[in-house]
Amino acid sequence: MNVETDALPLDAAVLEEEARPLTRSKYRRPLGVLALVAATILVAMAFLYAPEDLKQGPAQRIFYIHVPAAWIGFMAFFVVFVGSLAVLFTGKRRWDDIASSSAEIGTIFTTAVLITGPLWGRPVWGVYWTWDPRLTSYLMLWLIYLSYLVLRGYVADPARRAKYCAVLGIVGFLDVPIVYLSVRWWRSEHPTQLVFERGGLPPEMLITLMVGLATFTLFYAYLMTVRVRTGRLQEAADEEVLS
Amino acid sequence: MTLAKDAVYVIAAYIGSALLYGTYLALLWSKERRLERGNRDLQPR
Repeated sequence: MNVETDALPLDAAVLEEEARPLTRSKYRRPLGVLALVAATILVAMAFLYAPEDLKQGPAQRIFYIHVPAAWIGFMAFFVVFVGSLAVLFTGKRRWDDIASSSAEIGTIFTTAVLITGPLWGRPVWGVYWTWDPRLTSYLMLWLIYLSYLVLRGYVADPARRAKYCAVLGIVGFLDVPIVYLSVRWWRSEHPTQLVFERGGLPPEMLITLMVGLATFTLFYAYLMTVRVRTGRLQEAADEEVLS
Repeated sequence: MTLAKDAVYVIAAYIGSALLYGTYLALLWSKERRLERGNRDLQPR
């Protein structure tokens, strides 16, 4: 571990100190209210508006929370990727705040996908889990971001932590296109992306899915406002203890 | 019978997700409140 630490020149591990606001974002409350209203509409639409799938029956209704959570999880990891690049190129701590918050929230969304997926798979496939390319690569994605969070807890120095996690955040994102394209590259039990293809989804299902996507986007944005601030408060508290 | 059994998986998925997101949010809120109390700059003067 010492060898790895010493491999980075000290000045390369120093991030620019900057004033980062500790106050609540003005968008926070509207985002929270909108996310709650959208979630209520989504549940109502998923059970009352969207038609029942002829082949899969009621189990298909899991689709409206499973797919948006997966998409927003990918988006969260894209934010980690961009934030990590920005940490390395600009050296500003605010990018680390964003990347680390997005990684944690993305892991929560990915966990939700790993809960809802097996509950959908059991009635449709007859099994909760199979070592299918999509499922396996997705589990890998979850493990990569879990290790990102473990790494954050392992490195005490904020500047080094930001640099090491930025590297993992960039390398870890390489799994996202593998997960997305796995159903095309290899034979998979998991359905391919038919959402936007002609004859893919009936309009009622597509509209409900879009409401799900909007709901999860609002919820992600709300969680980011809370998590970024909590992270900054934690760092301020740690610095106060050290000083 | 099968349809009713399938509905159990749907309800479990929705409730399970809500519990996961709700627990995470509650933990974030409580951590934020605890840190706010400890941060003198954020105390009302």
